[in-house]
Amino acid sequence: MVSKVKSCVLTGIDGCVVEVEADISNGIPAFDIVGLGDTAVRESRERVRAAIKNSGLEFPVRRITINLAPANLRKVGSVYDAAIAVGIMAAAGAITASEPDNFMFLGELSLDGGIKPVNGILSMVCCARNNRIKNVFVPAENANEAAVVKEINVLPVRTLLEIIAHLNGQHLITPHTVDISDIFRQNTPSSVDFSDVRGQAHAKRALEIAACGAHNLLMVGTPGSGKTMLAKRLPTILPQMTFEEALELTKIYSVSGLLPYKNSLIPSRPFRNPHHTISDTSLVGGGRHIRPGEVSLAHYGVLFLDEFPEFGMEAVEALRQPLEDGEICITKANNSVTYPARTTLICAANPCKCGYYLDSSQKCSCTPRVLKQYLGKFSRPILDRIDIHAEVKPVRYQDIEKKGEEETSGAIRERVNRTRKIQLERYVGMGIYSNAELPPALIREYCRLDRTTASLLRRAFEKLGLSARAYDRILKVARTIADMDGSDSIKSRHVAEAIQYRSFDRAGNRG
Amino acid sequence: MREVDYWLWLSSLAGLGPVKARRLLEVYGHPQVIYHLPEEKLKQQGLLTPKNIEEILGREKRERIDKITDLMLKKDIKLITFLDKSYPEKLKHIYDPPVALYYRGSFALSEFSVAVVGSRRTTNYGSITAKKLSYELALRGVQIVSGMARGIDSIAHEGCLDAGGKTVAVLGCGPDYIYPPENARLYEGILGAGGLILSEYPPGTPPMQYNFPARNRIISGISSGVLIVEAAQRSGSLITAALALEQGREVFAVPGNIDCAYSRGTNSLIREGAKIVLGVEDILEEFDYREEKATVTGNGDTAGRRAGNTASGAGHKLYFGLSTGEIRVIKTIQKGIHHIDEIIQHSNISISEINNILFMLEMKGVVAQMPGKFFELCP
Repeated sequence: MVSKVKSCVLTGIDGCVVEVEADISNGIPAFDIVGLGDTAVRESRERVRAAIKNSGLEFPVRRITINLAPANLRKVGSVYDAAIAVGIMAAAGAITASEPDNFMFLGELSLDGGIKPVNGILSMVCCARNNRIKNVFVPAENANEAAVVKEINVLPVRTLLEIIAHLNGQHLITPHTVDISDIFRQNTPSSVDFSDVRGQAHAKRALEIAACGAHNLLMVGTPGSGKTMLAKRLPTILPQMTFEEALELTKIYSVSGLLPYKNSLIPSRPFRNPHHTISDTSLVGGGRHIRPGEVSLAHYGVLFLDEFPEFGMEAVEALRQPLEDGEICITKANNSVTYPARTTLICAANPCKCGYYLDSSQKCSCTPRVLKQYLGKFSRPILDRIDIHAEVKPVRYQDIEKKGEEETSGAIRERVNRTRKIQLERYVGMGIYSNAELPPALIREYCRLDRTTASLLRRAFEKLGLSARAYDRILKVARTIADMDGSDSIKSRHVAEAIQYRSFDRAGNRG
Repeated sequence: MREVDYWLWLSSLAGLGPVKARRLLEVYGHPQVIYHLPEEKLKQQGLLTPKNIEEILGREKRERIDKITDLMLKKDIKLITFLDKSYPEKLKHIYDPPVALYYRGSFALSEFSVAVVGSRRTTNYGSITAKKLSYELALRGVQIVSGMARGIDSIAHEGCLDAGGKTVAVLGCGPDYIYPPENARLYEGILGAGGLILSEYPPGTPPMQYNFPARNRIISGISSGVLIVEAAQRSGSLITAALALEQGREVFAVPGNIDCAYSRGTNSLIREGAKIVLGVEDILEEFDYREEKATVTGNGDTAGRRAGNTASGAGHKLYFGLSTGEIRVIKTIQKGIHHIDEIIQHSNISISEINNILFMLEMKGVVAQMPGKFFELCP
């Protein structure tokens, strides 16, 4: 007798329905699983056998064949355990559910018949909903995460017996629900705030512009000048995440196994701060079992590369494509996945190797050759993806003591929201959400300059020796500054300010 | 062999220092004699080590001369010897003058010249001051001598060139080597403006670390005074200052912030008695140098636009066609506030407006932006 139940396989952060077919026939007792499973799937035979036995059920001593369809998709992990066990029990006639098509089974079995949590539940439940499957059994520990998906019954279970009891109508499980608006409301205000930063008007303004136009940013300053402090506060002025954004971000964390089991949704923007020894696979994703990298974990948030010149050449170069496209496609011999990676990149660097190049109170110990080598790293092609350069100077003690009120993140965020709204309305239906994403053709259209402004820009290029790659960057940033100003057209003062944030394009000033 | 060949040979003996070479010259009168001296005579001298003697007798004498002659022809390098009339008078009187000088350009050392030296690494203040002082000295016809090293040296040459002056670069390698390599344009600029590239080392001598301190004695030796713009503690520029004192030259130093590592050397020089320089007058008055002697040219147009306080006219400010905001920013910078964050604080102008004003001032050539978002008034 054959039974068919549903489970789910992950490709990237999306799920794909897997039909678990169980066939029990006469013959020499055996238990085989086919359908391109990995070691974890092969080992599930032992878990399923023991779990069924230890649940007090009878494991059929006959010839059992399990097929995971579609057979051409590689199946990884232990999430199929529950479906396989249920499939066997159904094929053995122990389950009498009327509409097995309406259920999806997710979860890893423990030898005593318990059900353990798995990664990627959110993506799988989304997949169930998209395929109009009404009920999903999920491990109890994943229930909060799964319940974020609406229009579906999330049935949290702790043991295999609970599933069978529910299917047989003996003991029904109440669907689990969570209040999403509650999650956003309870999103405790971040422990960091822009008002913590004293002085630093130049750097703060740079961050605000970056937040308004989703521009990538490079900060240069001596050690202890507050680069990390500033960068950590960028997420607090980025617009509040929408539900859709939170859902997509949570999927990534869920797939990577980074979502704490009691949490259901990540309501705030991520701030990822990988160490400079990171490998290119950890940065952009990949590996033998493909996993999202830091650039995807920073989706809709901030990816902060401190000590930027110390990062490996390959890691940094690998960032270029995801920064351009907002997603990263990883292709392996027999598999190809795409992870979203729409992030704001913040790079921070010392002005020289020892860090004291711009600090007159301490002598810089770099030799000209070391200095040249170090500065050479600033000219990496990745800088073509960075719109804003900010130079950060340490705050003097007097300024820290000063009582004056600094603006809070909340106040800045309001301005950012306003500027973002202008952009969303302008680019509606174009698949673009911010000025930073403008392709060259649209720059010509939306960043037009009047004659005096154009001639000012031309003179600035001549006088300051700006490099050609600065041109589009300046226009985009000027567009953002104009939006912040509430101005439809780009005025010369907007261009003037944008040029102030291109320090490293100046002739004789590195890069 | 031509007579000059013997000089080439004598000056190319790297192991024989300038002092011993001079002594030999005093005894024998001409390098030709030394060239032909037999081994016994040299040994009897008592002055020379066996290594010196070996070098003097060295077999490849001829090849070396040919090589140098070849390079001199190719690179248009000329030679001046200790016995030549045009050998700089001032240099003759130092303890260890070089027996010969190789040079490119025109050998015209002015009677009144000032060496402007300083550290290779500079601050914005140092660069601006070096440029300003050498520019203004050159405008008054003072010849600027320096070592064409990175930092202050190069800036001093540039300042002199900007004023249309003829500057003298004393190298620590052969006059055919451009070191540091990024100074290629400066090297050509000096020659193009009728300046002089000078070295005691024959062409083909690569830059060697140990040769550089030695050239400092020539820098101070051919100059009337030495101005140290910026120097850290224990730096090469302080060696030059010490040499200058030994040679009886006037030592000038530019004061700096006491907390600044690059001004510690100059500040301690002032404490030890070097003359403090607040403007070019402090240098000129030391030599009773009368300005009308020199030709002051090319000052008219720049002075008109200048909004900052120049060293010569401190307190006089000329604002033409500048907005009130721009003037406020200039006044803030004049107070010694250079970083953008501090300018904002002191002038009470918003950041977006400041960005705008500073950019406009930069375009008007009134302020210059330095690395690190520091702003300086253009000299």
